[in-house]
Amino acid sequence: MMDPDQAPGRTPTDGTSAPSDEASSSEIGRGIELLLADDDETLRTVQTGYLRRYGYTVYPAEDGRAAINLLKNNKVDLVITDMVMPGSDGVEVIRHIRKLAPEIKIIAISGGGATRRELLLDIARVLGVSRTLEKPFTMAELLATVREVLNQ
Amino acid sequence: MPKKPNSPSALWSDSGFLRAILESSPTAVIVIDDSWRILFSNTEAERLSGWSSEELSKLSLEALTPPRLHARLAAFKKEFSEAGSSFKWSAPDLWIVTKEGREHPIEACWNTLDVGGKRHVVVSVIDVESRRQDERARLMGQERTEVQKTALLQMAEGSGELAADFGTRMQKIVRLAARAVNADRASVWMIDDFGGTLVCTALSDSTEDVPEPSVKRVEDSSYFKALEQEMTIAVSDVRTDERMRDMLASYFEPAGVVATLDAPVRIRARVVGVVCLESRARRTWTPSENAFARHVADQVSHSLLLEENINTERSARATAERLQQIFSHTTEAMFSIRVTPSREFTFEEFNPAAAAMIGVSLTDVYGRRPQDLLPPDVAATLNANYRRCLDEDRAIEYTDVLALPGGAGIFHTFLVPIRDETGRIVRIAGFARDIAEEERAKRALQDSEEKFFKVFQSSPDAIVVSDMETGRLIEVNEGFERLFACKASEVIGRTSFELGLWASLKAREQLVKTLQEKGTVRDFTAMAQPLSGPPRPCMVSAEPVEIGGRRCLVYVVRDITKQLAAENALRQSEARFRSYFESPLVGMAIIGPDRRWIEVNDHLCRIFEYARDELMAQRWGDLTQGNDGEPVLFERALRGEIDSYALEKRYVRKDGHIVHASIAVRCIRKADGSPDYFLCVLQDQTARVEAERGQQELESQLRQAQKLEALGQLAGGIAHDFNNILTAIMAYSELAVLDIENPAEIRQHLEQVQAASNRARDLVRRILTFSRQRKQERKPLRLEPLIEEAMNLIRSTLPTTIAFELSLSPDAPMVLADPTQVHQVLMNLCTNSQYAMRGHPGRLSVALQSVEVGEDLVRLHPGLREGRYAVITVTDTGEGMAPDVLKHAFEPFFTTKGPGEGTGLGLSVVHGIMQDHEGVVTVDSFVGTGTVIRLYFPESIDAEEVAATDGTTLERGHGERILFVDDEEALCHSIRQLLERLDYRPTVMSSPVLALERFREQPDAYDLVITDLTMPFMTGIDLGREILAVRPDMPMLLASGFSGTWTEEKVRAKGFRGLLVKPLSAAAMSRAIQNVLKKLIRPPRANDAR
Repeated sequence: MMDPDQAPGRTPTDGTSAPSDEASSSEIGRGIELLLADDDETLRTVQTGYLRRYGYTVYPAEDGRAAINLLKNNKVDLVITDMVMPGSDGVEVIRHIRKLAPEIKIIAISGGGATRRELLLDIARVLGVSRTLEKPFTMAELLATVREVLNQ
Repeated sequence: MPKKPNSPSALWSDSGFLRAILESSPTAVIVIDDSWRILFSNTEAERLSGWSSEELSKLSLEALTPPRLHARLAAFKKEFSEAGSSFKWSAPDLWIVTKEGREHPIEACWNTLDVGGKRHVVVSVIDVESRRQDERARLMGQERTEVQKTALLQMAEGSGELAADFGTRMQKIVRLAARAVNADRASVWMIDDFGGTLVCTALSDSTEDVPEPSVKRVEDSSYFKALEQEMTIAVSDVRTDERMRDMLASYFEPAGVVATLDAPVRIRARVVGVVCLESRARRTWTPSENAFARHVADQVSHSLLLEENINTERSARATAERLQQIFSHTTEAMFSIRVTPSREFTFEEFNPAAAAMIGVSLTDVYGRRPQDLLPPDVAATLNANYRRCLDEDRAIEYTDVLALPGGAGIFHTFLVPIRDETGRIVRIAGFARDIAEEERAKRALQDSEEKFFKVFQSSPDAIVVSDMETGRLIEVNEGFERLFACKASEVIGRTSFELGLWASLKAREQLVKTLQEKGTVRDFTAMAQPLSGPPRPCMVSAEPVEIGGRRCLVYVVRDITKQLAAENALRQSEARFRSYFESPLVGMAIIGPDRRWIEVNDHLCRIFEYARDELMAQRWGDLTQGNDGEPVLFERALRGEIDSYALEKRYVRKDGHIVHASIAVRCIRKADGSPDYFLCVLQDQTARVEAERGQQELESQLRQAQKLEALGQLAGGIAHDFNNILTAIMAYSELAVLDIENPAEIRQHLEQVQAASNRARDLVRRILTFSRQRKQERKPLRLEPLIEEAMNLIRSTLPTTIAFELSLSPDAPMVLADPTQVHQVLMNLCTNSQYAMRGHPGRLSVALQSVEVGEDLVRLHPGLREGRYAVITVTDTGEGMAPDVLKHAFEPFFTTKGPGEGTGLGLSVVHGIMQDHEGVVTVDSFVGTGTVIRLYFPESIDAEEVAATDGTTLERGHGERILFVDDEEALCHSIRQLLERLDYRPTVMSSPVLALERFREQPDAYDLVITDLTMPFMTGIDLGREILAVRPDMPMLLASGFSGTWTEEKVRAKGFRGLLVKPLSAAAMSRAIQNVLKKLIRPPRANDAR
């Protein structure tokens, strides 16, 4: 539980300094299209918003099925997908990408902690995702990972 | 010239008129012409003669006259012819011959009548037959009276003869009387005083062969009354006389008597008998005969009196002699006392007994006064008694205790006054007897006789006395009559052998033999044979006794049929009981009302591991472990309030181990209702209890394990959510940093951080709720108020689209429950229902009822047992659950809710709680129709309701103003309603910042502040601090969803009066509010507040 007593006085700074190194951070992602699948609306919004700040084009999807639909109509460079989603989950999305567009790079995100979820990440690795990211993560970490994968 | 018909002269000349007069005359009239032919005759003449007028006109006078009078008629005719016209002749003693040829006596008057120059004779004839008869009777009567007189004289003649006895004289009287009145029978009857009947003393009858009348006539008849009232009863025909009717069949008809003349015989005006003169034909009794009968009756009474005199005289002489004898020889004291004119008493004559009693010689007595002979006190007593006799003027009787010179004694004395011819008392005759000894003996005898007779008669045993020599029965009692089915009269004088009273002669012989050898017989068993009916087993005792010099045997025979049957039944019942008592399956004991063991069975000894003697040395209750309700129940049974009870209790075995047992105790009472003994059945339940405990432990472990597993799953399950939240927080924090120059952006980001944090908090709360290891506090209570309270909260949170129904049956039984948990269950279920009906109109029903769980339900829900349950039913009309969903409904973390809507803990918590309550939760659900959830709470039988302060009652306010601060809007809403309902005036704020602002505006507008601890932007603690800064005495309560970090002490240190633990129960909150408002809780940090 957060203690409101202390909350106002502190500012989270971890991992937020990286993008500021760039001269024009909004140019980093220009011309790069990403698909972001996350069932958590808040996270979807905040991630999308953050990545767009750096110039990426982001297609948000609330679940696996939406993600697959989006992929049919849009050519993307990278897919960031949560592994656990209602409806068709991350595993399905990855399988689909591997089948249709093996060149698309994938970052798999997991809720972390639970055995089953870890298993899911293992599955993802087996399926050939570029990177995995465990919650909670900072936006700076997300950005760094995206850039790292795209630069590979 | 025509005649006037109405003129008198004309009338008289009318021959029809004259004729009518003649016709109506009572005298026979005939008119004869000069040639002696009958010209006219009237009706009476026709009647008298028997001829009609026409016939008479053809008859000659001679034809109507008897031949012996024809000469006289001829002489008359001649005389008449020669006589002048005014001839008148009257002739008595004439006779007329009637048509039937009978001569009828008449008197005739002859007159001449000249009509139309012709000479006629008018003859008036008078019928003299009745007069003739009377005359004849009178003559005969005179003759008879003469006879009667003679007879009476003859009767009187012999009356003086002493030699002739009464019977002979009566015989003579009846004979003479019968002859005198020419009666067929004459008799004398004497009234038998005792029977009220008449007894014939003498009878004379014209027919010799008529037997002596033995018929008795009944008293109280009209005949008797007549005898008492009349001088004579003359009856000419007994068949038509009312007074004789009773005796007709019994007397008159057999005797052939038709007429009777009865005269009562009286002595001293009392009817003592009757004289009867009787005739076998109808007969009218003449006055002289009546008189005669009276005379005869007088003769009889005279004879009676004479007889009486003779007897009296004769007996008087004998009496005098006898009296003298008695006087001299009797042991009773007799004496006479002379009363002097000066009312002094002098002894006149003493008999020897009297002299001996007084203690003086006979010769010394005469002329002496009591005071001359006797000590003064005795003399005074005697004189007083004599004077009393004089004063009371009558015979007196009294008993004195006197010390006479002849000896002291109890003297019963009888004094009789003797008067002279003027009626003055001149003497007193005295009779005295010493009854001291007699009294004693009499009493003793009476007592013993009475006693013996009573015992003899009333004894339920048959008692019989028989003559030892002859064997004949002398006396038997009622018991004998009963046993042998006979009457005493049937058996007395006969022998038992004759009567066949012995069913077996062998037994009789044996009894006789025993009697001869030992003299008596005791408790000899034999079969008695009643005169009717089957033989009966008996116990016989016999004893020789002597009664009135006669050697007798007394037998006492007791019917032991019932006794044998009872003994048999008892033996069987005892055997049955004994076999039951010695059952190797249960411990049994009989306990006295003093709690001592009367009897214990082996199994009980084995249960307690005591030897029988060791156990018997203890008392009921000594082995009890701990305190249980048993002594109270025992007392109640002793007082008669209950007859039996059963309970589970613990005992200490000899080796110190605890024995768990279920006992059933029944009080067996005496006829008067007081406890006789207690029958206790004790079943050793130790093995079962231990097994159960093991099972419970196992279950508990399993539950805990499940819980841990669940927690693991939870961790995984919520990790996702939680990490999402954290990620969001971190992300927005980063954004805030990025947008540090733009406060509006920062605000948005921070709000997102806040929202995410709230989600995290809620998540944690739910986990805590689930995992909280709170000790259960189950107590006996009624569910009604609890449900009502919970429903008050639920109702306020329901959207208007959901209708709410509450139905509480007051007969639902008491249950053992933890109110907080039940509250939680209800909140959970109702929230679920509400969720199931989201977006649609629906109905939520909550009901409480009493349900008798039977075999069928038990089969369906194995958690149930047969018995009574309080059942809460929560019904919704929501979407329902499909069977595969239903299957998992109770699994932890199973939820149909979307992410963030629920943790899936609801029904599994309900299930766990119901298990803790030894109850059951059942779910019936159909997709699209709705869900019915039933909570079965078993009835708590022994429970007595815990008093109202257990938190189920709501304490009300009196318009106090309360500021309530909580960031949960829904809670704010429901608390406002609750507080209003409890008569408070609440101000409810969901923002602590705004709440503080409001408070600062009007610090005195509130009596109490209740704030949640955890709120965005400002915690409850901070809010409290700010409020106290404005108003140091402000009473405040802190509400917290998780009490782990904040304790009562800690919040008091922060200036609060107390801590309210969420979820807020209306009862706890209302109580806390009242405690603060009534200053039951002193303000903390009082020094600072000053």
